Amino acid sequence: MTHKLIHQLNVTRHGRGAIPVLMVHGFGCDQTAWSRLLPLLENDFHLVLFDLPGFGAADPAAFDPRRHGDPAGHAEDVAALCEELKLEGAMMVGHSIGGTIGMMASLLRPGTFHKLCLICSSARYLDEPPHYRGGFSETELDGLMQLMEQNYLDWAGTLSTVALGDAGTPNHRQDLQQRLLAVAPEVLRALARSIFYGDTRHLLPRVTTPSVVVQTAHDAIVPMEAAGYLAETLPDGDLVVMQTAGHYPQLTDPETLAWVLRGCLTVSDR
Amino acid sequence: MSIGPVELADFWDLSPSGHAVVDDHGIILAANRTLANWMARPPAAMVGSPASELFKPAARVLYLALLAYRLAVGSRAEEIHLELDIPDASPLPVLCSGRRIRYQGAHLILLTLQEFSRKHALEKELLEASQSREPLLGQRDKR
Repeated sequence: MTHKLIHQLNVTRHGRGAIPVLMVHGFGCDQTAWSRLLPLLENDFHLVLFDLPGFGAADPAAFDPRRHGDPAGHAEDVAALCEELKLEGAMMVGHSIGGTIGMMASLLRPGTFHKLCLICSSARYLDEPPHYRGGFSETELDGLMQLMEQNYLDWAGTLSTVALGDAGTPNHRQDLQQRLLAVAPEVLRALARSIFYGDTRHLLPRVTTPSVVVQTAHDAIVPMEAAGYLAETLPDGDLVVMQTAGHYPQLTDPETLAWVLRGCLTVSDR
Repeated sequence: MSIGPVELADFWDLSPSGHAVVDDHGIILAANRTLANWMARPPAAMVGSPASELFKPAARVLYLALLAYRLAVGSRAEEIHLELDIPDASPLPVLCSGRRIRYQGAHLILLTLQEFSRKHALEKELLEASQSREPLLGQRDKR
């Protein structure tokens, strides 16, 4: 058994607990997005973090433009990573599209997860009036793609800064930024299009793993209706609403999120 | 010439840029008159609403996922290209920069929004021209 993905996806482990929790970050982030949550959970859990291909400090060689322009390709990697890690009956905490990717991985490798926690995730961002509200019209999503293009260099800049933290030397920083800039805009564009125009609602009835949808009370990216739809359509889904605002509660309100997650990831229901 | 604190406070309202002070949960604590005028609301009416709601829906994603994220992890963000959601008018393109500072035991976000209409139009034209060329270049590469 090789540990290729463990190295390529920059797997790091934290905490002293017995329960393994795989944490899947969202689009445009990397595992450092969890940094404020780690100290609050590491007494109780064994936290497994990694960077999705194309993001953070993941090995550029892990990035396959044919597969990683779609969340399904990332889900294949997460399932393969879980195989390398020999995860069985673990917990999955995923933020935004990371939650969707983790959910898709649970379908590819049944038994991996005992519970899924989807933070500010959505099965569909595009409105389909009058029955479904995803939060965005087609015109608005077209505008989003345009704005992403206009901010492309900033995405790369953010990624490199976050990936390096404070420890990176100027040379290392420049090297990584160059590598990130080498990820062509059309690659990130493809993944962004796939996320925001995509639809994973058809997968939801197949998810047998108990799931908790954790949603902030005011999220400009995911409306409460979309979070409610996700929780209601998942066969064993619950909705927990955090009385806080924003799309990144792990950064803006980690204490409340840790409290919520501790409730979701209880030992008693293993 | 020395400038007094009262005049400095006036300059906050007279600034050619929009300014806002936002708490760590993204709620506006104060906005200057320039920003309030753009949004067609009195400055006091801006207080208490989420800063993300200043922007068009597409720009809200960028505000949260790029600017607010960068501020949360790195305490500074520069020149993020966004669009203000102006009531009954076209969106106003702005370049938004921010700083996350510590104040009285809490964190605050200082936002500056600079109007960007003329350069935005030029940038959009360049982008559209570049995008229209891409399929042609793709065809050429396949040959």
